[in-house]
Amino acid sequence: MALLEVRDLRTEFRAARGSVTAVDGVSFTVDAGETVALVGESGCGKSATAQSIMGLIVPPAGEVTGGQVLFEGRDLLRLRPREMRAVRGKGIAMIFQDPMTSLNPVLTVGRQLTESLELHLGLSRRAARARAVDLLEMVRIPAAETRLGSYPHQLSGGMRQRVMIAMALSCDPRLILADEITTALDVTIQAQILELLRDLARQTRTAVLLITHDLGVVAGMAERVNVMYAGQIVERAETVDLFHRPQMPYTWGLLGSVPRLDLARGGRLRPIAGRPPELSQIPAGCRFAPRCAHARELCHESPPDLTTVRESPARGQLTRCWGTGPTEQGGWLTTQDRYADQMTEAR
Amino acid sequence: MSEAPATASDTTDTAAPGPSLLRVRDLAVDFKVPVRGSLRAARLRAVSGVDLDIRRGEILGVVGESGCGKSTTGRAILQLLKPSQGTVAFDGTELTTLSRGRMRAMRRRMQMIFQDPFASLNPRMSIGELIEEPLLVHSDLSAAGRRAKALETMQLVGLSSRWHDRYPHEFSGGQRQRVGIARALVSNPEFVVADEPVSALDVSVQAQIVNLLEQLQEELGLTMMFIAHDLAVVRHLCDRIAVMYLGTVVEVGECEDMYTSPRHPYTQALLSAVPIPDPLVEVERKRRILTGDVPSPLNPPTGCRFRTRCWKAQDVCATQEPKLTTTGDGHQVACHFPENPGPQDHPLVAVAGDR
Repeated sequence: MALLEVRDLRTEFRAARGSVTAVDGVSFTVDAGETVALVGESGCGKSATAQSIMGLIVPPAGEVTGGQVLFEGRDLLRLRPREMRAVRGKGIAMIFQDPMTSLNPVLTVGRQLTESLELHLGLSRRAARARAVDLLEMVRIPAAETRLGSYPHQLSGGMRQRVMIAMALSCDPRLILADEITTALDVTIQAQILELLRDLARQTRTAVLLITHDLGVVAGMAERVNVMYAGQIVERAETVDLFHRPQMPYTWGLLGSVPRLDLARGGRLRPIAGRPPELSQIPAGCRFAPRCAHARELCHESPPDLTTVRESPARGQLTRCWGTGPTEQGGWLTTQDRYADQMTEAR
Repeated sequence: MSEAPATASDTTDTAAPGPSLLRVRDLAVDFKVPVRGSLRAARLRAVSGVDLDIRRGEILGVVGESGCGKSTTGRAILQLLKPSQGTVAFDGTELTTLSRGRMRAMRRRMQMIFQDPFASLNPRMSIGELIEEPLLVHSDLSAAGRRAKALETMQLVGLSSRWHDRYPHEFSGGQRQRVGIARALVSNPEFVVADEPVSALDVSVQAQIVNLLEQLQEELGLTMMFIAHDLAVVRHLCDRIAVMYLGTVVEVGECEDMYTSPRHPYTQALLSAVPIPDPLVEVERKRRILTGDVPSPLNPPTGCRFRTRCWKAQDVCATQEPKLTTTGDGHQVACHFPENPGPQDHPLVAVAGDR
């Protein structure tokens, strides 16, 4: 059984006129100890998915209107607020992009750590303090003992994110949701934080759901990847397959848009034309069709499902694409069309 | 068919160094910052002793992490911030001593593209008005002439003329950046400082703007200073690169040279920290992960500013500030113990050992 299984999740937000569906039928799993990425551009619904899992979508602004979030077999969407509080921290912990918004500015780092330890684990003050020092040492904060007395504003961005990771790990969660945790950080600090999270997750066998827009971060961290576009998962694969055999034209587009440091410098980038659809004006067929160079009439008329296009030893590769689909009407995209071959040439 | 030998190195782009359009020497910029418990402000030296040459027709990339002074340098070059010391010569004219009137006339020739186009656009002006606005100062064109020029520039940056009467809030991030670029280019400048122009954009749109800048630079023969923190984008776009750390320039070199054989330890660490979108490369890669944070510019380390995070630092690094020195091949580095040129320990190439 998967540690986390999201089934057909649907989340809507109130907008000026009517509502928009930010997450539209999203299903995926995360196994115990595994790192899975949700990757996509702004507005694709990746963060809304994470917030829905954590029960952070609060009416009337937004509402989870369908689906299930099964964590260790229990549907989190049906839990009472009190039961959900017990899941947060001990079951699932979340780390956000900007630690300053999730740390309390008027409490010391030490107090914030010990508070949750006392609350969730029932530790005594003294035991909590000792554990807090251990945690700060675990996230490699120098002079941990003295850092307990620091306020968040006295720490650098990287240090704050370390504190957040320490807080997330404090109750030994089974799963960490990491939402764009290095987006605000400089590249050398990002490397430190990613290495730390990778090491700690491995050591403690904690599963990670990594939410990011950065394909480079995905490549270095995740075992499996879900690519999101306009509220839906459009491709799912093992990480190596996604980067070396991307199937869905949107994924080729994403990979073709980023210059790579390790490849020879060549020609122009191959951007995707246009931009993602407004959620209030979702195309009738494939949501990517208006920007897709390979779209046919079918794509504009009828929305494709997420279907398996490649069997692989592990869990296969799925796309939401007529062109790569195995159905009778679809499947016109040949391997020659596919981005992977262009990449090989570029080497 | 006679082909050039495949081994011809395309990295030794031996184009004779073109004449400098811009020559910056010993530039420093100070900010006053309040000190808690004191009425006297402290002096924060954001940029210190920067020497840079930008050749006519090239794109010079300036990279570094937050607070390294790259944006401040760009603004001080354009005299949008007053330098505390140093000289900035543009096409032979010293800018730091120019009168306001002469500087305003000079501004037509040097423009800026900002990171957040929305913050730099007046929401009550239509796109057409926004693009025409610089012409009110920088040209004596009639209203009709300005309109024609604005429409021509819109076409140049890939904005349809039907957008002329629309307002910025109707535009996406990528389109707004096109407006920002059009505003910078409408007065036909020779030199443009682009300050993180693609950092706020999603990757698919970012690539569109990168391609546009590349195309415009070629078509118009622009000279450009491209300030960014994304090393992959900088490498894609730039001819030469300057790396900054804590207010100083630590290395300058030809683009490919910089990436294949970085000399300064900081440049090496920076390159090694960039994630590569390929899991097979990532897994093989040897990383050089720096410890600690960037020190406060209020109290920079003595000697070499990078020494507190440098794995090669020795006693001399604490006492003597290394000068930016030019090596035989025109590469410049400020380090007491620079790496030898050569790809042997390259943070990126070393991993591509599968072929």
